[in-house]
Amino acid sequence: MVVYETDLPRVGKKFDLDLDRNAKLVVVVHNTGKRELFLQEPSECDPKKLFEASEETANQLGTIMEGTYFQSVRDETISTVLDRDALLEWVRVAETSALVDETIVESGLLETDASIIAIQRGSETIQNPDPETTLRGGDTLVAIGDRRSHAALEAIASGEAADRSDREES
Amino acid sequence: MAETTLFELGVVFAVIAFGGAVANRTGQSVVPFYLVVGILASEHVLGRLGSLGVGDAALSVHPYVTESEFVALGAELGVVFLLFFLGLEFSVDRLAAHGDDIGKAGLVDLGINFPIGVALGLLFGWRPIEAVLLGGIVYISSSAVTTKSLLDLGWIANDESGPLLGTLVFEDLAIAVYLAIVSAVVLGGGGVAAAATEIVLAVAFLGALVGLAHFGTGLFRRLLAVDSRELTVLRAVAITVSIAGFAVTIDVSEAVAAFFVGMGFSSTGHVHELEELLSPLRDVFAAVFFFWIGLTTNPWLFADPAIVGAIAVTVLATTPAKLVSGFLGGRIYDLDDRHSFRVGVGMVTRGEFSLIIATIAQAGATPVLAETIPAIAVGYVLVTSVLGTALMQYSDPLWSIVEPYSVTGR
Repeated sequence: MVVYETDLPRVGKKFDLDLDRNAKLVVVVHNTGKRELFLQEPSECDPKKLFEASEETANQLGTIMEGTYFQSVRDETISTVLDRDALLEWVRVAETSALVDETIVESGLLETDASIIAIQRGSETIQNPDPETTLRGGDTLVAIGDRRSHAALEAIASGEAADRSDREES
Repeated sequence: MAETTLFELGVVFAVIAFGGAVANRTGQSVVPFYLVVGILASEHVLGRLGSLGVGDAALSVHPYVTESEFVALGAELGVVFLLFFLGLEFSVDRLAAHGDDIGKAGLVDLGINFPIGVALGLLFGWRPIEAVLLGGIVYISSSAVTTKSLLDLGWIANDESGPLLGTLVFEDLAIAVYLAIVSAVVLGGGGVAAAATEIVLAVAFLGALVGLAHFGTGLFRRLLAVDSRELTVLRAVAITVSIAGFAVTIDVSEAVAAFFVGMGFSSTGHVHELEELLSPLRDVFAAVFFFWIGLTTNPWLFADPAIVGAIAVTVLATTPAKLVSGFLGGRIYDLDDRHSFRVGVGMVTRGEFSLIIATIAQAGATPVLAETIPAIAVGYVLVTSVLGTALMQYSDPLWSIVEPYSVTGR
């Protein structure tokens, strides 16, 4: 599929996608973040505006269209969106996870982009945990980060990390 | 020049905000409305009403807005920020990538409209430099008004948006060079020798600025890479305004200096951030600029048949010229006749830059420079900004009238 890209100085960028039946989809990405979607029917002279969306809505729409959105909402996780790049998420450490009996430093969690801001252990909450804190199975990690780093953290915490890296390599 | 009280300043912004609200309500661009409220609030209109006894004598302040130093400085800041943004959004890479079409369409635009303006000036019996100023005023279309109409009408997704915005970019670069030369000549104010020295000085200073824009990217980037919005804004404003202000002290146009500073910032990777942080400043001070232009315009000049005649002749001659040059520009981009026609229609509006040229003329010594050209520019911008917006809104019915005469039949 060919996507034609046109620069719109002072406005943003325009993308033209050819659809079936000689119809054309026009996406205008404004510098302000706003997105507009137009449909050009072959019989019409000018494209018709379908809708406009904010950057945030458009990004979510994008992940839905891509078929990846549903993966980020799992039943066992609770998340709060702070802004586009920052989500607050609660992640449970499974007994089988590689994190069990590791300190935060040893676990390699510091290298991911998600930061652990608290650990809930039973009725106790450890705020701002020390890097030497040892993690246990059944802990709930409260972490802040973007969607991607949360996905990585979740994979490690649930014990699926090995699986996951295999998949990425293939 | 008088001192501004805080209350008076509040009135200024209230009046500007009112003008903007009316513009929004009527679907027009804000530029002509800021101009009109400036004219109405001035000593020439409100001041006269006041002296006729209509104004409230009990008010301790005079009932009109004076051309105070603060408003004048605010207007100057408006010019600086307008041009700074042009520079910021100007990309040499983009020009290089689409240079062929932009260059051709831009040259057609320049080659048709600028000479017509100069010829009109000479026809009015003006001196060459005065005619060249009129050439600039009629040549440069309004990026602000045209871009807003493009967005409002949804033309942005259409084929005509490329050539329209591309030609405007070409005009921006042309006007930066033009302002540099013209302001040196006018502000130098003297004979050929003095003008030559001024031009050499201006070119040397601008050369230094281009060098800074090109090689100073690293420096600018470091200066802007602070983790505080406050400091980023302050630093950007400090650099821009001080360089532009220094330019004025050596008789170089502050507008041009600001353009090149903007260009210097454009490759720092902070463009988006700067746009977001500084656009409120630009909007506020650009509004003050338009208001100030209205304030300094004596509307009674519009009662002078010679001025009105000159405005009418200029509009009648240059509107079709823009329609033709825009149409040809559209054809260069391979558009069909209908969309090419729209490119022409979109170019009719003149605005901020014509007024900036008028302020340069205002600083000149002859009566034509100081009074006639600014008045013509204001009248001309008022007419073309309203006319241009209307033409864009009614371009489809207009096209059905013009279509039968279409030469190329595409």
